[in-house]
Amino acid sequence: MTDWLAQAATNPSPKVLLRLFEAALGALWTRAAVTLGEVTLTAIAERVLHNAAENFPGLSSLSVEATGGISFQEFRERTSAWQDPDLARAIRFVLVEFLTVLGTLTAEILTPELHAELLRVTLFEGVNGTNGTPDGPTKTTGTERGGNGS
Amino acid sequence: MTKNTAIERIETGIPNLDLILHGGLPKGSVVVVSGPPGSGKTILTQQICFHNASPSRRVLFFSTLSEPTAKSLRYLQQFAFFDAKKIEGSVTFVDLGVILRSQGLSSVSALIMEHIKRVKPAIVVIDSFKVFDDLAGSREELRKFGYEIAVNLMAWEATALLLGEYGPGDYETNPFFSIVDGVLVLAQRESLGEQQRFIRAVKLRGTDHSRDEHPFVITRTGIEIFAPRVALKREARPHAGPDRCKTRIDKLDEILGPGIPWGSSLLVGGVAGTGKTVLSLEFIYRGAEAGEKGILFSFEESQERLLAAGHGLGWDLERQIKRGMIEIVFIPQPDIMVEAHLRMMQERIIAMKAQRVVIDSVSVFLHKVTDPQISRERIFHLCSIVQNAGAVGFFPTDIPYGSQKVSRFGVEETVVDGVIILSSTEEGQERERYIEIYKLRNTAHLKGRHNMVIGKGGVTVFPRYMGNLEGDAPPPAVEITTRLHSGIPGLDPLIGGGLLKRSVTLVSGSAGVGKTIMGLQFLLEGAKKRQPGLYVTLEEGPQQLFASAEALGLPLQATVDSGLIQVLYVSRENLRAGQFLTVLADRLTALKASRVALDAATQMLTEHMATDEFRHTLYKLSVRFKNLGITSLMTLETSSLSSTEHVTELGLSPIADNLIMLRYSQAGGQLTPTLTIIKTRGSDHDHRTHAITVAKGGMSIGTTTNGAHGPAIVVPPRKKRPPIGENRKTR
Repeated sequence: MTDWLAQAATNPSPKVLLRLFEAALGALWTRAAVTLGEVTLTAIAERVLHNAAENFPGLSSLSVEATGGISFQEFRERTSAWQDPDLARAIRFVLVEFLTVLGTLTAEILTPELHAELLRVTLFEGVNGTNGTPDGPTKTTGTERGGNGS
Repeated sequence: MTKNTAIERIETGIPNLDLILHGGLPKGSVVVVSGPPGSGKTILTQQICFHNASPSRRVLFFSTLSEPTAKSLRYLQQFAFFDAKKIEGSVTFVDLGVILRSQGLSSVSALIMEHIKRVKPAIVVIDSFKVFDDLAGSREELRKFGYEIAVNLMAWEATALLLGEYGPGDYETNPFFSIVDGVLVLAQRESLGEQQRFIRAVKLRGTDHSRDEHPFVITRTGIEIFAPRVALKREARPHAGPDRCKTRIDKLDEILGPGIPWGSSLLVGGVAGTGKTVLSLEFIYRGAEAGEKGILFSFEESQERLLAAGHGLGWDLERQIKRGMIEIVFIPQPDIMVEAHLRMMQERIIAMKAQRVVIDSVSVFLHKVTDPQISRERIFHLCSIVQNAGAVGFFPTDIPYGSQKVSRFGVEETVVDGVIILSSTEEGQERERYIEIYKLRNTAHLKGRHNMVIGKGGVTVFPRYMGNLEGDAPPPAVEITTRLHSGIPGLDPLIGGGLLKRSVTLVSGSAGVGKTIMGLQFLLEGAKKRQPGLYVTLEEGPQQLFASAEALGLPLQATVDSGLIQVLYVSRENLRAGQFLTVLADRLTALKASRVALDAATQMLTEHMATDEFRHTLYKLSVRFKNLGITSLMTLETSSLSSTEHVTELGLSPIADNLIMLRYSQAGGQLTPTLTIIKTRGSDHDHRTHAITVAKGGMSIGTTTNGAHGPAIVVPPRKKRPPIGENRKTR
């Protein structure tokens, strides 16, 4: 997780962190849903978010959408209330918990692929405040980066 | 390459259930516990919960409309596994009855998840889940509900036990059963004449579990499952000390050869009254005396009755029980529960560290089992218990009268390591007991039936072959360098100078011809040279014998008084070949005898001993004498006074090294006793017939009957035979 954050962005702002977090969860969801299905994934996500909210009450604004995926709308609106270190720890907790629970329930069968999926989530160089725009896309895939493949 | 990861298991804490499930319930699995009301579903589940419950492993127990929580808790308190301190801290009971009644199925799922999120349980129980079948509006709704519950439980890694009164039809048609990971089925029905409970794992994903139905009981300690098929595996455990068990029962060990290998189980078969219980009880008692602990499980005789039986035989069983060397466990026949008692016996044997085990009797223990295959399996389990304990087991079993079987069910003997058969036969006015080692694996034992007596002191066995396990080995040869004087004046020159040491001499003759005198002189001659001798008389009593000897001037009484000669009288009525041979061997060994006279061996021929057996017995006797280095003389009475056509009339000649024929010969209008040497092994002999004289001083050899003198033959003057005791038989 530390490696991923280090390669994903350097000293990201809360806003950038949030976008990385959203992109990462989205990527993990998309990959896991293929194998586990939306119903199972929803149940797992509810467990992860419930536990996360117990540790970081600010995360209680995250919710699982009825149609699948995690809703960030309310969470985004409250991001400004987060202190940078807390937000980073909270994001880290959710992602670690999500990967851990998925790994445990699938006997680590999905873990390598999920880790690979997560490592693809990064910012364009411009996005982190140098060449890109803060509102630019947050996820690149191997293909988008020039065909490094998965 | 993907690494295989074993699924973590949750121990049930129920004896043997984890063995049946190969380690316990898979963590995170959803298992249905089904069965009719009263089959034990709730108790089974609660026992699992309380075994596992702790602050770090919490249990959430939902009650639906089946049984109010308060009622469930009240009954729960009577079980040993119940721990009130765990309530709420580790075990949380939630009654869903209200919400089910008011809001129906739709709200239940959310409520359940709400509690799961709050408690984060390791184990979730829903009792009963079958209620949802009745509350669901449609099969689709039920399936969706079940699926959601199952998925959520899985996501929370909670191991779920869903209880319900499901039947076999549900397993095939209820869609919920395709979702769940396991199905445990509890049942209750009559079996072997009594109501019994059973449990069976119908399904358990990812587990090569036992498919068998296993009986169980509910006691104050909770549920106890009996699964000998999976719980009783044979293990090789080396026994400390000697590798064979000696029974220490009088002479039984002689026919058991080197002894019984530890870990063996022996069937002790016989019809009623043949001594199975006494033999088995003595096996335990003698072991205790020798420092080997023993346990006897009795299904017929109470401890008091067994103690009384032992007391009557002179055994102090009470003392051994007080010392902790013997345990007697009485289980009345009506109380027998085969699987339960198998487990109990195993525990008692291990707890006591018993080295001797008696199950008296296995035929009663298994009397309700009608299937021979199950009987065989249960005997196998008993054998496994004994083997794993490194003990030796005696399993008495009743054989029906008139049966050709060696066991009650006809299958046990294939499983056990050995079979001892006890029998009795009517002989005259008495019943004679016999013991036979019918089978004993890896042990060279004495074959055939051996006489057995139960009397003061217990069981005494009289080995037929006198303990000589090499009974089939050729007898040692006579010593051609050493000759013994026969004690009969004039006889030694006819047989090359005397009787070869270790030789067997058969003296065949009709009544009154002088056989007894010849035997006495043979022993007295030895006594002169300080060679101890044993005179065995099967015909005349000792006093009669002394009187006869005295009349002839033979110093028998004085020699007996000096201890050089012993006289052993065995009446024909009480003579039992098996006992006789053993007693004889013991006396000869104790006396360190050099000579033995057996007069008359033909008295052993009774209506109960056929000629073949007599011949066989005499042969074994002669071999035994030779093995002991004893020179023997045995007399045989013939029916013919004068016929020389047959020497022994019984085909015994091959047994003898020397064969002497005494006959009457008619000459000059009177009968004259004569002697003819028929055979001498290892030396030349005189082939003529000689007159013999029995007079003061004993028997002596005279002229040849044709008047010719032999080279060293003395012709004693014929004297009138002196009178002897009034009771003397007419010769």
